[in-house]
Amino acid sequence: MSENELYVDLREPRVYECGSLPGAVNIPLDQLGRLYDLPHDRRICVYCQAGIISEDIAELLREAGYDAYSLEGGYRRWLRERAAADGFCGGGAADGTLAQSVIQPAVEALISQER
Amino acid sequence: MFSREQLERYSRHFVLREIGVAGQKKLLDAKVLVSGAGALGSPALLYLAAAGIGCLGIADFDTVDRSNLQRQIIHNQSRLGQSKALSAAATIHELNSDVHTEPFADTVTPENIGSLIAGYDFVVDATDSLESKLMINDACVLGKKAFVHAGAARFDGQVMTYVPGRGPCLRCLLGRDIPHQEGNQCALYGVLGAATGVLGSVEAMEAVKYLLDVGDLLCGRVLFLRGLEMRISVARLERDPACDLCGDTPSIRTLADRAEDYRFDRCATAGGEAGE
Repeated sequence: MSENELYVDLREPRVYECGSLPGAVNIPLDQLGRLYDLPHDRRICVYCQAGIISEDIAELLREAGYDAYSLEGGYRRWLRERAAADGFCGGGAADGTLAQSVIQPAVEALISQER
Repeated sequence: MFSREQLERYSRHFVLREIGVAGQKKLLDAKVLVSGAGALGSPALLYLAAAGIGCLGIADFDTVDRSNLQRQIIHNQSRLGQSKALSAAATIHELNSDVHTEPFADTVTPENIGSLIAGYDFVVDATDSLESKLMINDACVLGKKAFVHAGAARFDGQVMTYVPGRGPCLRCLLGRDIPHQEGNQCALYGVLGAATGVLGSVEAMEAVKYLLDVGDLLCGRVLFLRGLEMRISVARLERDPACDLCGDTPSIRTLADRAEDYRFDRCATAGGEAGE
């Protein structure tokens, strides 16, 4: 992630608080009006849980003149890739206390969101 | 691009996969004609306006009467005596200023209906007489215009959707011997406002689904509401190959062919005519 990028988390505040991308601002889907408060001089990366609705929102932002894109696979994929990088095996013991404390609550929130 | 207000207003649409950003744009670009600003037209117009249909045609020659207020919820006490088309337009503007309204306060006739419907993507039959319903049906079939039909009386009613070339029309449902009934059936039989609310809302849903091309329309199907038992059933209906209008050898080729069908003052519910 470069300095110029700004992550926008479209999920519910409760889920966002369990874990989000670094420096992400939370604009839940029922507050989309706040999208136009985003700075125009940053590259906006929007994400949701799975990367589907975020595509629509990124397109919406581009039409409003933003340099915006959607995070492919959403938070779920980002978390999976982070977990793999940090050595968390999802069933066995985690390698590091730090990894577990960061990832476990986020995974629980993710699981509770899963239908 | 959407305005900030539109982002807030349509946020519940953006979340729906069937609508999303692209779908909302389609709705804002769409033009829907609602024929009748009465019991069925009230919920239909209100929900179509709320959804952000960009242009709503409102055809109603009548004025607001106190007896209307029992069910025609797009009007209110301060509108008594006013044109229904204009009253409906005023309510819509207070609800959603994104919506452009085209009130048509004159009588819809076989002479003007063809050019009237031509300018719209979809038509909602929200009329209260069988003659009007037949005229709308015939005009839309001949004009290759998709539309949704509904009729209501007492606690009951039905809804069906016509898509050109894809399913039955109203004449397929009613059969070839359409009974003549004297007098205003709604005034004679009565109708519960909430029943018209259900049916008019279904009409609005069908319109939205058609415009977005999502879901399954009531095309080749008829939804029946039996409000006292609270039973809603959907029956299959095939196009009638012998239908005078949409059959294999149609005898109705212009609106002049059956002008007499459009002249009687009757209310249409498929069940009510059989006296169930």
